[in-house]
Amino acid sequence: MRKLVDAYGAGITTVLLLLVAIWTLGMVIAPQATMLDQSLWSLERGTADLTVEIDRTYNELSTAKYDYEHSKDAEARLALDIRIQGLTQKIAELELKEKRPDKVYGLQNYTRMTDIHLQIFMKTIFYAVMVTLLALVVCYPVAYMAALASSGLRATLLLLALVIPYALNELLRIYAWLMILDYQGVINGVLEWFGVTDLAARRWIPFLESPAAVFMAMVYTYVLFMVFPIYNTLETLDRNQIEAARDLGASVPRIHARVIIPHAKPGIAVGCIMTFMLSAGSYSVPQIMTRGQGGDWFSQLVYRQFFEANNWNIGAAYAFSLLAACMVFVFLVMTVFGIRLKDIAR
Amino acid sequence: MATHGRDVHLKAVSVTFGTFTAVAPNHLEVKAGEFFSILGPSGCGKTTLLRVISGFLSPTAGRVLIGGTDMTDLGPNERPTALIFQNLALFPLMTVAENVAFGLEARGVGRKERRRRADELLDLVALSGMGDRMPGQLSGGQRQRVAVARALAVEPAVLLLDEPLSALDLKLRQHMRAELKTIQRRTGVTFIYITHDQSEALAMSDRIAVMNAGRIEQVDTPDRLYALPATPFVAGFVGEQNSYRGRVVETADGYAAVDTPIGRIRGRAAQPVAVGAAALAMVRPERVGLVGDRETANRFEAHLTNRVLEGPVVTHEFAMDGGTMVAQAPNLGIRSHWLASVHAIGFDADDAVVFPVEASDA
Repeated sequence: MRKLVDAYGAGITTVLLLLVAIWTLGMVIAPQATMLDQSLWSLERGTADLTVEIDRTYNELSTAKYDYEHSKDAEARLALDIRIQGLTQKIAELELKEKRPDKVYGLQNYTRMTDIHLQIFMKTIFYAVMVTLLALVVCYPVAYMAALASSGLRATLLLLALVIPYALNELLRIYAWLMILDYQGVINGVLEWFGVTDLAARRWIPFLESPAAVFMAMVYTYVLFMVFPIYNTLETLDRNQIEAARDLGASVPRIHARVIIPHAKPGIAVGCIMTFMLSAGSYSVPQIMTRGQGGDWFSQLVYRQFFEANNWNIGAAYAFSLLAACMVFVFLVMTVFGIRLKDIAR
Repeated sequence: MATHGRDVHLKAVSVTFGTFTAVAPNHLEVKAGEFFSILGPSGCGKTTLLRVISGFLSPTAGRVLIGGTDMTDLGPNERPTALIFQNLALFPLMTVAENVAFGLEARGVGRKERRRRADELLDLVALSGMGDRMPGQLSGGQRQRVAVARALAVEPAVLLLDEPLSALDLKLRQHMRAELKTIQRRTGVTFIYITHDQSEALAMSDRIAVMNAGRIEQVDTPDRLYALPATPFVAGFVGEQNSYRGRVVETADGYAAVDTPIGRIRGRAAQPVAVGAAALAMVRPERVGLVGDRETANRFEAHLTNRVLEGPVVTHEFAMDGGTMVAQAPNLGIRSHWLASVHAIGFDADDAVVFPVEASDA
């Protein structure tokens, strides 16, 4: 605090702190709190019974009114009048209850998840783990090449080649994969030349219906989030350590296992966490790649709860479950890799 | 320690990077079990030469023989050499014992045996009981010893050291010199030691190669190197000297007389010189003394202009007709007879060296 004031002066420090406070409160705490609150209540409309009862009361009211009009006995008319007033009152109460249902707090939004939704939830977590592992397998060699095994120019070109596609919109990159893997896409087209597929006869390989298509597009979409953290940590490795290990007779796999990967651990952990979070929460990739042909990802379910079922409470509960799962993953990764928050913040 | 050093033989080894010649074709023979230093200024190619011997760099031309076997095409992990890096390159995420035993781990030695050998080596380098520390917890000198132990663990026949003491302070450096020398004697491993510090090379080595601009200028024992430098560069790089340019007026039996601005200087000819050729005469400050009435090959009348007390030695600066001369003498305390201002100073012909130089330089 003292240091900030010394470095920037009181004015800028105040502005900075204010911005941080606004950001933390307005962009992080408030939305999350609202979400949490939303997920913890639901409106009890009393289900179908209420509607039936309103209908029945209306019927009784009609009968009573008919009787009232055709009755000549003054005593009977008085009794009917009281009854009509009572029924009207009851209808008003019932309709009010239907219009303004009770807000009931509880965990019902979480426990009400259907089996099929739970299945999709588990599947999504599993898929996200797969995407993360796949991205790690693809990105570690790339990061290694760029950071340690290439001369300056080649490393620069390699990184440029990675960064340039990111100048394109994410959706365009996904559509590019769609065009490659589509039924009448590039691969099926090439295979037609070899007689494997026949597009006119609708004989093609349905790449898009396999989860692998989503994996592939997703790995490509989030590749940088894995490459750069690993690249950054590898950059700081003293190359002499690699040479020393080699000089002492270590094989290439052993050098990676004992010297390079231990050093890159914080970067690998950060990359895994970012890739997992992004892919577990990715909506556009599964939505565009599967077009409803493959199974849903959980993020699509959340979307539908909010914007199609218009049930924000369930949506919030689903979103929160996903967040919780991600948090568990983060702590798991940190425990497995034996790193602390301090290492990640570097 | 069952290891025994092997000899290293470089045959016409050269290294060029593009158009830049880092190492000119050099021959070098290092004997088995020798403490051999390669001395030279930074950028002279000594580290490049070391990388060629260790196998990290293939020479552009020439062959590398270790123990009589041609190893030019073998990688660093296939050679009986171990390299100690300038920055040591200890593995910071492994314990000291794991560091030391890494080479054994790579050779598939079991965990228990590895630990036993690591402890043995840590005893050798006086780090008993430090096996479970991390390198970051050690002092500079201790890390140095871990690096030595790690390199010795693979029982190399040749240990290559790339200025490993340069990061230590003076006192520790002097201590480590003695320790390295002791370890070398005890293990019998051939040490090839790279340094730019002439006192380090003189203090430890059995023999020294002096390198300049990719070329080995002289290979000799420290004593001979110091007393009989083969080239002006060697004379200049190893120790202090007074040097005077002039022309050769007389040669006889490996000696030459040179007429210089301060007068005639007689000295040993480092290389054959011709009468009339341009030459450089050099004499070490500590070889210059008061001659009094004594007959000597080189004698000058000079007066003392400055006297610098350096503790055990005193540096005297003299001026004479045509130039100056520095003389260094042991500190004789207040009995010193150098205090008078005019002196007859001089040195024997054997104490001066005459080099031929390019005429344009003269």
